[in-house]
Amino acid sequence: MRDQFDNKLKEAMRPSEEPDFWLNQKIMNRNLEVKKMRKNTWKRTAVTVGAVGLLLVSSVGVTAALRYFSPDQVAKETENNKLAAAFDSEGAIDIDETQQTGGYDITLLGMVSGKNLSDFESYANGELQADRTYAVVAIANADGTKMQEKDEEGCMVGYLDKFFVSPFIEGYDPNRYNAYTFNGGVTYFVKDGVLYWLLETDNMEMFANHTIYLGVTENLGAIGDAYTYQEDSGKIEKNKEYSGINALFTLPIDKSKASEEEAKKYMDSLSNDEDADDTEEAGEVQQMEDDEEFFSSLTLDNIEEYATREESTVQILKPDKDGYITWNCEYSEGTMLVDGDASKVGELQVISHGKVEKGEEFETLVRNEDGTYTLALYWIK
Amino acid sequence: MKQSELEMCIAEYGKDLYSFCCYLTYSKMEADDLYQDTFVKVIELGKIDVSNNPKSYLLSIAVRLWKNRKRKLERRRRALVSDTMEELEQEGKLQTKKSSLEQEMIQREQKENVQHAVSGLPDKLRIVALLYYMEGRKVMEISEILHVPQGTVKSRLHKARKILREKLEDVI
Repeated sequence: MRDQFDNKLKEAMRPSEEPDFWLNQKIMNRNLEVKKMRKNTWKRTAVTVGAVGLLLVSSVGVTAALRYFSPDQVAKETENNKLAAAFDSEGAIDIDETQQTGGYDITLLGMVSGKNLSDFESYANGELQADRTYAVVAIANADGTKMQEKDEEGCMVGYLDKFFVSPFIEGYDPNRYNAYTFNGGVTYFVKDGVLYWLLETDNMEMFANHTIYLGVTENLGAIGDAYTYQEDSGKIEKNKEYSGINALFTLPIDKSKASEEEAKKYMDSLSNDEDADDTEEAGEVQQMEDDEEFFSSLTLDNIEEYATREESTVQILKPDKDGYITWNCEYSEGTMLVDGDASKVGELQVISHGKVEKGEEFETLVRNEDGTYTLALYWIK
Repeated sequence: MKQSELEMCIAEYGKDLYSFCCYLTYSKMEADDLYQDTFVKVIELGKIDVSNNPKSYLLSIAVRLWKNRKRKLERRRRALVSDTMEELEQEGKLQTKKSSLEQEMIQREQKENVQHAVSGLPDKLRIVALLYYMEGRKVMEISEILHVPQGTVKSRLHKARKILREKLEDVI
């Protein structure tokens, strides 16, 4: 199929558009936000065990008071048409049960389980996770005010550190076995003052011989306070003394889908993965925080103590008429928009960090008095 | 998702993915959104298998997102096409400013001709053409990205190529 015409087409269509630096930075920050949230929730596990709540505020209702999106509409809003069709199919379960807790009306709208139901593939430990359970929850302020979509500065409000939605299984400690360990993923959005939370986890149907719950609380670390787990009976209940959010629904999963054998195999595999994952995640997040602390401590006055400048990379860059600086040296090349840069003259900014065969490097950018920028690459000592 | 994996994906495939988004949407603003949403979706899903063709995985997410939102954007996109072609051409000017004037003019003209020809393809053919010619994906990979049989990919590619040849034979 390839001939000269093909080659010319390929040449003319060769990728040439570059995403701007800040766009990539926003993506990196989003990932950091998600990772930090996970780390914080683990930390809180340690400090909140044994804490005593003061006031009972939870109450249970059975009917959704507001008109919410249906689960398939929620899936459509997240641009997942295949999942929307699954929620609209016979296998899906519409639930529509509301519980009022911690100042919120929390409504479990529906769920669906099965293989290849989503437009988007999920991976865990390098393996495609095709067999999943999806649940949709609506969260609204109980006082009728709207959940915020954007803050005063117009930035999207993050909710990953405010709510944690997870299946729990009778007979398994929810502190240990929850959405985090079940390879959970979350997509959420706010529409008309209601927060919609689309949770996906590994398929829970194999546990249908047990009672399967869906809990909603503040974060992973709050599980120990928000719920009680009776080791003898395996029963999970709301902690009546808990003053925060502790919704707990029972998922009506068809018992014919149960498989004790598969469930045992699955739980055994989770136990084996757990230690390895914890160590890796903790080490990675620690490294990330160390890096942030290190780079933010650097100034023009102290940088030589920690790093050696690669003199051949030093460049004075003048922004072009559109506010971009462009550089090219032995180790890197790039274009960056500096129009609107709020850094002070002489303030050192670290704009990239990486490891190559020669060692660990980072690039710095400093705004000069005359409006130019000095770019330099340093090797960490 | 590991920060190092994300950094690697952005460094390795960011430009390719972004170019794909630009050609797909013909709007810088929409390309920015689609590019960002693709990575956000990967972050939400938790992990990316860096050993298992991550570029195709990213492209497949971008295609899915694009297809699902296309209906909403259809009306807006038509209005933006002419503006955006200009916008992309402007960017092309910036990127080729180091080339000699003569080379620049030839390259730009060819690029513009190809852009116009590709933009005129029906979506199904356009996506296959972009994945094949721009992103260097093989027929088998395109089949996996789009979840369509390889025969369908070959047929769409053949049609796209025929149309492009008719439009471009005299100019490239």
